[in-house]
Amino acid sequence: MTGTSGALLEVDGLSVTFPSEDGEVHAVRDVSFAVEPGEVLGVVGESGSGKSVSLMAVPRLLPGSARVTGSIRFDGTELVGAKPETLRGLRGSEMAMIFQDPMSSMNPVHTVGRQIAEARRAHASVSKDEAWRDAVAALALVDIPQPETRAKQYPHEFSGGMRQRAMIAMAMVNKPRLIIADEPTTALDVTVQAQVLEVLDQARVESGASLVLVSHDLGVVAGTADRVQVMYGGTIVETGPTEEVFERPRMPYTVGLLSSLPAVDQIGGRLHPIPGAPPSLVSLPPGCSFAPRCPIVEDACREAEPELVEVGTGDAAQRSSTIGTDHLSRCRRWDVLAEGSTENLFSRTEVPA
Amino acid sequence: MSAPSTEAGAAPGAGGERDGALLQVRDLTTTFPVRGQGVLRRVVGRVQAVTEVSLDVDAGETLGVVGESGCGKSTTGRSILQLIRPDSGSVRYDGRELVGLSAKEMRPLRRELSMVFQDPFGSLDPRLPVSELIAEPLRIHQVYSSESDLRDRVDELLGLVGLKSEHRNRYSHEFSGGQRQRIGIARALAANPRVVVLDEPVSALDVSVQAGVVNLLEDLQERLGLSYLFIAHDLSVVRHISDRVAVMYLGKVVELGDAVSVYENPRHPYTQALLSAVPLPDPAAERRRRKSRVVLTGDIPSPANPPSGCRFRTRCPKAQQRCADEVPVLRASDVAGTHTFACHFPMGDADSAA
Repeated sequence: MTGTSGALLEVDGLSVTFPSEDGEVHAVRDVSFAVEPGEVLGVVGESGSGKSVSLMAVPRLLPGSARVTGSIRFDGTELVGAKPETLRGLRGSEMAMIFQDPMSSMNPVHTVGRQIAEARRAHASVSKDEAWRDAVAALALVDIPQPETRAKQYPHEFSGGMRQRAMIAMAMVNKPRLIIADEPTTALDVTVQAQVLEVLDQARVESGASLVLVSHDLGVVAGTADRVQVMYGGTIVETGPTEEVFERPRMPYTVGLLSSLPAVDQIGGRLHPIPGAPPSLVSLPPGCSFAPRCPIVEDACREAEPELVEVGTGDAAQRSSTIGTDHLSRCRRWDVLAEGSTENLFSRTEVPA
Repeated sequence: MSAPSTEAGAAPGAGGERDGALLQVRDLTTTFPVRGQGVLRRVVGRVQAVTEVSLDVDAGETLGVVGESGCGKSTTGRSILQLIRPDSGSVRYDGRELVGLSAKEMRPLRRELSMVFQDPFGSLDPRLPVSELIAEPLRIHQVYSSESDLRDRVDELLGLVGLKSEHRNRYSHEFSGGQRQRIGIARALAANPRVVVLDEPVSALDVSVQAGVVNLLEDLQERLGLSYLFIAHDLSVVRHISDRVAVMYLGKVVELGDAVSVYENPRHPYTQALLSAVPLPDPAAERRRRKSRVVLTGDIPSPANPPSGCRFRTRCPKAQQRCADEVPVLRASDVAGTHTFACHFPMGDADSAA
């Protein structure tokens, strides 16, 4: 899935390892994906799946001990091995980041307006007054009431939701072309989350930027992303258009993730957990990393890690609607999922985790 | 704090009060002092964490308590168990009044009223092996006859929560989050409680693991006839596990009733906004919902200085003058009185779609 011409971000064969006392931690393994201009890519997975690390490698916001190999091209410029100045020029201007915790990503001793103006002046030759005006305009863009007054306040005077909106304002002030949002609403209450997601969407549509949304919340991704990629054991196990992946999952892990969720709009009977635990990233099994927990595993799955294969054209009934959708799965037995109902895949395998 | 008006429309016993419930909470109020900056750290105000909360938990029933951060749901749970001393109100367990009991008088009752905490990392002593973690409550309450009896009971509890007896000598750091929460549940169940307060028991877990713990809690309830007070911010999990649900906002119960009724036919505008804000893991449905979603403006006001009248009025799309003047009391939504809400201008059946 590489070399899509015109892609804003192209990640090819990205691997990230960290040294540890127990050996090398393979946090990200051979990950390739592309983000088109204006596109929203959702990245989902559970803790330790490599979803955050793979995206933080893009602006090189990883600890110094991380070893990054492969290729990351932003608008044609290679970032792996690039000079620090190249990255410094891109970070905060062409590509912006929004993090989970807005309290620790702002400086408590400077006013919110000053921090946003500083971000503006770091990348553009504008006067202090102009930068301040841009900061106030950015706060207005994210629906902060009385932006002139609010800009003069300190982060602690903002509530959690307002702080996160101010973070979005700071990310948007230089009109970035790519926004990487890592769990941007995880620390927020649902009613505030709804506000922040709406603001993020508005800001993105107005600026035409691409968005990579990393989240463990399948609901957040379902409503926002054009395409989604599911990560497990440090690598992409399924990717495709959001509706395709949610409605016709072709990787047992994705099926398990969806069927383990209780539904707010349904009276549920029994939930269907995925048995077992995620693999250790220090000593991964030789075959498919999901094999030890998979209800349809066969011997061949344990021998070699399967490749990502096109799965969109498997079902004759759905062939017309799914042709050329780039729906890929890292499962040798995806056709089993295409043939039968995926609903009861995990119900018969219930064992305590 | 203004006194609630007693309104003619209020059904007697509104608030889901039932005679003979195992746990009866009436007008429970808990406040925390706010201290000044000076040397004397004088009390300059009080945060009204829980205000006049009334609810019942029947034997074998699960009452879910939902609400956002700062709504007082955790303080309610802790005040019921007297882990935080409430200012006023009454908590009757099996006919016995708990408010006002000394720590010593409370101790034998703690066998029957236990708690599961959110953080499976912080709530287990890292220096004790699993067998000792589980045996600790048994030793405290002296509910074993001999060391071999204790050992058997620990193994039985491990089996009950889906762990193996060979796990008994391991330490908590050797377990995954889901397994640790199972150890926490085994501890809570060790002394054979009748009521368990679960404070965000699955919030720290990944969804695939969370499902297993939720199933376990349901199985244990059925086998042991437990009553649960299930406190969580995740509306989907609460709906899944609860028989009845209480929705809290800024220290008060705003809606209380049968889970199906509250979720299908929310009467309080806050309940409706809360339900409509939950993102669905279904792309087509979620996109439709986003268009019609009631997005609340503003943030939760400070509980140190709550708004007059209805506490939700500052964010409510339906608020009028009356909401500022008069505190709404819980009143019945249906003839049976099993679903109550506190709102002057409730959502009708026509516009209550979640």
